[in-house]
Amino acid sequence: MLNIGNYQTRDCQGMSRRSFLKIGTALPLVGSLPLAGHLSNLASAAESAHAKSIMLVWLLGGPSHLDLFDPKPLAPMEYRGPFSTIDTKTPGVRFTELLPQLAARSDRFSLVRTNINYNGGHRPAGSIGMTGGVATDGGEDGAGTPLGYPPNFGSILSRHRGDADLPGFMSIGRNHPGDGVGLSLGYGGGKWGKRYDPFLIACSDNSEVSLPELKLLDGLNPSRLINRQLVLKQLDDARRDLDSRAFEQWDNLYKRAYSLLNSSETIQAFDLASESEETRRAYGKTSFGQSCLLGRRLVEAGVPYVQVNWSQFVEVFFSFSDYGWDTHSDNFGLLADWHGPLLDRTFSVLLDDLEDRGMLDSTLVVCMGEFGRTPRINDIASRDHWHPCYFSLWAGGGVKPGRVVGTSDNNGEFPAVDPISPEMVGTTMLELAGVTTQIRAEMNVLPTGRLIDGLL
Amino acid sequence: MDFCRFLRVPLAARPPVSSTRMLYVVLTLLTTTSLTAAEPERLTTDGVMKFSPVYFPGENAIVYCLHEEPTRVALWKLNLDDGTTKRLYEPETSHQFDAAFSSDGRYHAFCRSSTSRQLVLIIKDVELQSEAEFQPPGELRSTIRTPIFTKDDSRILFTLSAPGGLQIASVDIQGKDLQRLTQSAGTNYWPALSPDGKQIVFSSSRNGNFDLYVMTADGRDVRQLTSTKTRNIRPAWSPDGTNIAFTSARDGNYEIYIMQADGSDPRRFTENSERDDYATWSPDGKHLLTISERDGAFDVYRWRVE
Repeated sequence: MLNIGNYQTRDCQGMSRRSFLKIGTALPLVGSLPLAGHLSNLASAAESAHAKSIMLVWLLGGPSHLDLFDPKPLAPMEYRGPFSTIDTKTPGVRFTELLPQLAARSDRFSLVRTNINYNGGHRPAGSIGMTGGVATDGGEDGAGTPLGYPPNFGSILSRHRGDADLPGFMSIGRNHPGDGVGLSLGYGGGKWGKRYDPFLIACSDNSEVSLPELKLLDGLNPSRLINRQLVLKQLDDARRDLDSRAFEQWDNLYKRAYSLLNSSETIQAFDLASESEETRRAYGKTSFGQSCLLGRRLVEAGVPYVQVNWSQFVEVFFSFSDYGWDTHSDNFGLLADWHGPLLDRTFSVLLDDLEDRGMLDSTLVVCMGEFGRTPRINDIASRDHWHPCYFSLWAGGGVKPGRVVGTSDNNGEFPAVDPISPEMVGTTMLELAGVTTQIRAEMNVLPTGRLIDGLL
Repeated sequence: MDFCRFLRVPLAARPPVSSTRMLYVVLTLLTTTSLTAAEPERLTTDGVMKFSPVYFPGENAIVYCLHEEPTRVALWKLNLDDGTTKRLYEPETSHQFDAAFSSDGRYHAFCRSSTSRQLVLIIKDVELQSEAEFQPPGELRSTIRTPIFTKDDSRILFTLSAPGGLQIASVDIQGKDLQRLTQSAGTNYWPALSPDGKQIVFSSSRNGNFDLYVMTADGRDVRQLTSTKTRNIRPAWSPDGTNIAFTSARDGNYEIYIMQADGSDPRRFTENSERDDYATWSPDGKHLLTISERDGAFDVYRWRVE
């Protein structure tokens, strides 16, 4: 692993963390994204679109739709769960009591209650959810590779928008999303190759931003990164330590790093210390909260597609895991303790912040997971995977707010009307961002996709 | 009556009152407001997500769960005399949740993540330096949460998520002899013992949403203590047995309430637009610990109860 750099913003206690350098031979995800160019190109490409940027808040693991945005208080006890329901600002629409802040803002976003997926496993469902298509080579359940999937929605938008200083598709997380077995293969460029993979950027609860693929040298921080001579020397020093086998990969990494570090504006986008203490606190002292803030900054800097991952892994309680939404056991305790309050706070603040800055109209924010959870409570008083019906939230970017699209049946098991497929999710997102039917046809992506009319 | 709000009104802002009226107010306060919240003392400052504080026996210290890394929740001990913190145990690769201690401190119980059962109950005998493990029965995703010791330290009560639902159950300190104390519909969670050890207060959704119930220590004579439209969870019995503190969302967000042990006279103890949760009584009953969220940061706070 080549780790070049790790820098931290100043936190509220004035803490800082030592940066570091590690050199190895394994260089994952080192494609050469189209980095060189100008933000002005990007702006012109986005001119005709409602959404200059898309922000996908990815709740991996499968959040329970019945316990959050599609409660069924009249369902039998073995379905409905222990949470009561509350009014929202949208007449006739109720959420569970875990979401009072979002209930008070329901007029700022629309809710789809009838998303469907084609697979009930995390990794394939995640890939389908992020690409709109199924694998042609067996995918995660077989011996598939990323090349078997269509390109991620972010890869499509990034390619359409073309070159810019910042990568066109950035994913915020310690790694691309997956489970304890591996990644969702649809995390990036898919059949287009690694060139269109997202650029990975991590953010801790201390506002510490790091580039897992490009960890920088000891002592580097956002302001010093502007010193190109220093960066070049350090990169060259690191290069000499590599063996020949890694040389080609290193060369790609070098280009990527240099391109990214070539602009003080791009580095500034990573520096959460530029935000006021009040703003950083508002998002909450959690990695998810600070990641959403970083996502907003990246959108502000002109990144067309930002994916904010709730966690790295879907799992909650396994030894390696980081509190994903896969609540096979203790669903109700976990949602009351952690997942519900955290989502309620952070997503509410994100909407407020985007609106206060006048960015919501030009930023499409979508919040969802790869599926929901079983409406029928399982034998250990929790909920398992459920892909035939789940929710997504849509705000800004040309979406009409305050609407509910689709109705699930009495127990929340299946769409009663208006099933919304992953292709429709991707098609609607991209259409709002200016990737029209003709452009999608030219790119040969999402051939069967339709728009979610109820959102527009 | 909202005591917190009343008590926080500056004196100068209150209307002038006659001496008779003042006497009435004083008498009313003396007879009806035995529980009040002054400004709390912030005991930690890191702001990192933490939960489930509990007093550590024999020392002026508490133990709580801390999200010390994204992939690790660990038990940390805070010395209340000097403010120092350290891990309770050496670093592990597994998550640790929900510590409990026998009254003499010999036995420690907590939940540990596992790759088979998701959370198992660990019982450490610190005197013999041995460790027993209770794996919840049934399927692999079963879990244990919220252990507490019985009054005589012979058994451990907990929330069991296993085939049969989410129930209050217990095992002995060797992790054997599983006994289920509830077998009701809905979810049954967060058991807390009365100081005399004869009753258990817990939260249950058997009638729809989370309300507080009380039952005998062997699981009989269940009585409902609260009945609100929003959740009432995480009860904690005061050391003198007269009050129960708990978390309720009845005003829209997580606040601490205190009621009489029979469920009467519930009063809001905390008032903040952010979260107050995980009420824990000090051994002398004079303070409540909470995990409170302030400006997005989670810390341990100590509140005086008068």
